[in-house]
Amino acid sequence: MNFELADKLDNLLQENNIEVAINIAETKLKELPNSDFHKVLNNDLLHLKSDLSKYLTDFYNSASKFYIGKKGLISSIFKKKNTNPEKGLKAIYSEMNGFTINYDRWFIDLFAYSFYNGLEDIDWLAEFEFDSAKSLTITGFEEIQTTFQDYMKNGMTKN
Amino acid sequence: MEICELLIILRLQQLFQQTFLDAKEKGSEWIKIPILATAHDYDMIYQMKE
Repeated sequence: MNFELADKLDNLLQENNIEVAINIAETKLKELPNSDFHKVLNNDLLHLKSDLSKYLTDFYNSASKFYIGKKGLISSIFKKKNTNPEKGLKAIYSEMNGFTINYDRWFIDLFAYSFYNGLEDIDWLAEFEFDSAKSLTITGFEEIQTTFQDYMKNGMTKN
Repeated sequence: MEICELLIILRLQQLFQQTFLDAKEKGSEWIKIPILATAHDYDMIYQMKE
């Protein structure tokens, strides 16, 4: 991994400068000899905005109900309202599958937490309490998926 | 390959960023909590928060 570039991109990401990060990464890729990996250039996923919006909204509603249900159970046991007011949906994590080796299908899943522990140490992300029953398939990058398939199977690079 | 990987993740995060901005305009509920996004086995996490 090009750690220097990855660190630079990560810093831009934390500053919400995604467009700048994309431009830098695309410029770096263009400097390399042409390959099938260059098919990623000038391709975005913005056609999935409405699908992702619905996916997040549905998940937020389901996860919220999940935690309300838990609160309700605690309240009913102790016959007291708001026994644990801190319990509730506090964060959502979205993870794309391991795309370099799972080139047949790229997708994202969602995970819910009743706590949020920041980005300093992200081990807590493994401790999700609720997750999406269905994944959202990522479309539009099929050509690049084929590139990863070729690379993993044949160790190519074409061109 | 490595830069291609980083670009795929950034494009995914761009999708989340733009979806978040649309949801903010609509006043969607889910923008009120932190939403984090990356790909499996990558530390480059993007966090959306109102």
